[in-house]
Amino acid sequence: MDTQELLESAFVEVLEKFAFMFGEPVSPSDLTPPNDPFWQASIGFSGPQKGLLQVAAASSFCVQLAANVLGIDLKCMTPEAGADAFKELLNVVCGELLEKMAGTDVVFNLTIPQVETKPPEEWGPLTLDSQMRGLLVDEMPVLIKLEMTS
Amino acid sequence: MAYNILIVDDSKTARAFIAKSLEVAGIEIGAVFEAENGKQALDVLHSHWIDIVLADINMPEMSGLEMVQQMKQDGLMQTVPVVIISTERSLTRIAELKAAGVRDYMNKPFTPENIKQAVDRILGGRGE
Repeated sequence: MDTQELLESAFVEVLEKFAFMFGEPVSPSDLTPPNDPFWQASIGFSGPQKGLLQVAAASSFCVQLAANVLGIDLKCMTPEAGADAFKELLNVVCGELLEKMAGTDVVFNLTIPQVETKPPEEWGPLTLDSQMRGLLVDEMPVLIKLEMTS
Repeated sequence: MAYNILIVDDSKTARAFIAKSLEVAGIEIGAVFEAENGKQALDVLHSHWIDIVLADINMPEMSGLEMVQQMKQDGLMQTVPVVIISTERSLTRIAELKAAGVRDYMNKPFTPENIKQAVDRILGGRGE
């Protein structure tokens, strides 16, 4: 598997174990863009390899994620809870990905995950990035990208 | 016997997930305390009786490793068992944590069964 395939695999596996949600790879351009502001989260890592892992998804995905992880009714979830769950998902995916990429004999340092909202018009340009991968998760669009910096 | 458990993680989601997993695992809980980083955890440990600490490593202000190192310097806290629950997979880092006094280690994501096994191993299954 190449690095991008490992990324998709890590994301799908963690999503299933962590939130009982199921995703399948889709071309980013085939995903229906969100109509509302979406969330974009990032986490950096350094060690034998250095890079940045990013994920973008509609707020509905983040809220559903939080509801599934915590086993709480979707109606009781707040956008803040969704954003926090989104960051934690990225944190866990990063750990899984680095093990798949480099094994367990090396040490990586991870940054604290960050999340921000983006206006819907910023979704389109993300899908044009050649390193961006798309996933359809329970009918919701998700974009993921691994950028190696050294 | 019911246990007082301290959950230390900067993610509110992670803290809630761990608390839920303890409940699902059937561990008898006296009280659950929460802290967002090692520094807050030390404050809780100073003021409450805690049977076991479940902590992340990578947190702002004070990491899980620094927290354990400070606990080991304190006569009252040094015997409180700490289980690290983290995305960290490096065997070198896990060895470093165990050398610092961490009793057990679990990868995220984990299952309620994983957490029950860890708590039972350390507290002798007295929570059942």
